This record gives sequence, structure tokens and C-alpha cells, in this order.
Amino acid sequence: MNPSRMARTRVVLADDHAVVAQGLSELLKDSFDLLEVVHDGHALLDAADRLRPDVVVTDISMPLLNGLEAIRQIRARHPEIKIVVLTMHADTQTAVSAFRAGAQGYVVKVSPEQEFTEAIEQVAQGRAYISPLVAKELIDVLLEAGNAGPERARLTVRQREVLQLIAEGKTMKEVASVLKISPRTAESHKYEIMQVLGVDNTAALVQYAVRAGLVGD
Amino acid sequence: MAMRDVTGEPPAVLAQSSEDAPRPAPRVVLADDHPELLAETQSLLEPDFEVVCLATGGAALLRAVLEAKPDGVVSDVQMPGVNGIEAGSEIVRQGLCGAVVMLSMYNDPQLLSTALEAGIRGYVLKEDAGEELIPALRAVLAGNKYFSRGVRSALPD
Repeated sequence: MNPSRMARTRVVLADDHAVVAQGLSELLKDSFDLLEVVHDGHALLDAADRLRPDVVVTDISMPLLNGLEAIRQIRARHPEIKIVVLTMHADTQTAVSAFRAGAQGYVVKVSPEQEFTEAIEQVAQGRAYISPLVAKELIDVLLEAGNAGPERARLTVRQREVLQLIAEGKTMKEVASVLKISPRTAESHKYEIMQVLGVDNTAALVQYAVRAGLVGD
Repeated sequence: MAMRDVTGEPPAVLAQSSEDAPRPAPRVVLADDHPELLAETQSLLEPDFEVVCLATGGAALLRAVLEAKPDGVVSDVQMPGVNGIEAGSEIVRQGLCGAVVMLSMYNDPQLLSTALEAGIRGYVLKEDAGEELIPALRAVLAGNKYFSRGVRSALPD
């Protein structure tokens, strides 16, 4: 097969800063088939509909329709289109929002050019790309979420101990005995846990414990 | 890992603009664990300065400064994990950026002296930021120290 006839990845770029868009276009044209450059969320949606690119590269804050909302809509209408977010936000919250909205890649703008093209290539091949600038904290968020469960509740270590014992079917007296605390203290721990989790019965507590992985089901 | 070109400098995705102003706006990195405050500081500093990266923690700030090689840094002091003074100290110590300004909600003499000892030259209270953050950044970029009104009033002598 003649390599020069292999199709290049088709990309649409969205950024509302003209200078940034210009610089990125030059970079993109070398390695990819840059179909169009747009400067707001509406134009991005329109380009995605018309052109069906392989990958969309987009900033988050843009006029008319912000990047996150545009991503959600593109993913809903064209789930085969991959998305790389390119942003000046080196923070986990934004990254989490981007991935939740449906992005496969997250690149921070101050990173070297090679990261940018790498991200697009990885994502075009069905993989994900996370900027090293946010990767570490993102892992921390993941691990925390694993401990806390879907409600993202914050239980103390002691409270998790009590919860686990309750979920294993122990009475308050048994819980107190195992943890070497008074039954009254055990009761008040249970009460606090229910407050934090927003539940009002033991069955719901057990359910939470199972979901959070504190006990097997 | 980033590949370097022959000059040893990795080309950044976000290239510096030189077409509009006679002198390009100084490039700064901001850090604050509250995103709304980050945005506020950003709109305060633009367009006099070019905000190139926003971080919400000290560790991310360090990595961002490593990548961005900015002219200046403005960082909140109180952040969970690595705080602004720890990050700022490391940035100065490693010679990554000399123009670091701390933004603090409180006037804490202890924190202030820690910052000064670490070579951080700018310290601005958040209540003074509206009027004094830009002068502070300009001062530290020029190699001077700058303390905002609320800080100066608490300094000895």
C-alpha cells in the first residue's frame, strides 16, 4: 500500500482566540487533515454536523455555546467523533468536567507541541490522553471517589469502620465490642454516618456500604 | 516526555503573540483553589498581561510553570496540598520565575516572612488586588518588592 494515499486524520479546530487558532492551525496542518477552524460553539456544532471529522479539538470557554455543552451535543449526535479538549486550565475540576461531557483527551495549552499531536493521534485510534499536568491529581480524585462511593460522602476512618461492621450484620453492641468503644459511642457514630449519607434507615446504610465496596455483595 | 528541538526549548502549543502591541504582554500563570477567584484575577490582569495557564493547586502550579516558563506568577496562599508559598518558594529556588506575587486573604506576619525569606518579592491582600495587583506584578517583573496597602500597614517600621 502506498503510504502517501493513507487517509490522514480529519480534524476540526475550535478556539476563540485568533492568534492561538492561527498557531494551532499551522501545527495541525503538518500532521492532520485540518478541515475547518471555528471560533464559537455554534459554529463548532455546525462544522461537526456538516463535515463529520474524526477528531474535534476544542477549547472550553467560547462565545455563543461553551465548549463543554458543544462536546455534549456532538457526542449525542455523532458518538463516533472523538474529542480533544485544549485549554489553559491545568486543573482537575475542569478535566473531570471535560471527560464527563464526553471528551477523550485533555491537553493543557502550555504543553509542548508534541503533546498536542500525540493526544490527537491517541484519541483518533480510540485511546484516551490526559495531560501530565493534571494526571496526578486526577488519579487522586479517582481513588477518593472509589472510597467515598457515588454520593461522594466524606466519612472518617472510624465511621467507615463502624459502617463496615454494621453492613456485616453486627449489632451496635457487637460493633462497640469489636472497636472497643462504648455502645453509646457506636450509636452516635451510626447516627452521624446516617446524617452524612442522608439516609434514615439501616438498610440504606448497608446498601451504601456495598456500593462503596466496604463489603462484598 | 517532551522532545526538545535543537535550541533546547520545547515549542509551546500556545505561541506568544507579537503582532498587536509594540511590546508583548508579560506571560503569567495564575493559581487559586477557587475557580471563580481564578477567573476574577484573570479578567483583572488581562489584557495588560497574557494569562497562559490556570492552576488550582501548588503542585499543578509548579508543573504549569515548568511547562509555560512564564514571566510572572500570581498565586493564592491558602491552597490544599502544596500551598502557594511552598510552590512559590520552589519556583524561585529553582530559578523558574523570579516575579512571584502571593495573593492572600489574610495578613499573616508568619506567612509573609516565610514568603520573603524564600525570595518571593510580592505580597498582596485580596482586598487590595483590584487596585494593587497590576502595580505589584509590574514591580516584581522589574526586580523590585511590592507589598499592598493592607500588608504595609502591618509591617514593622
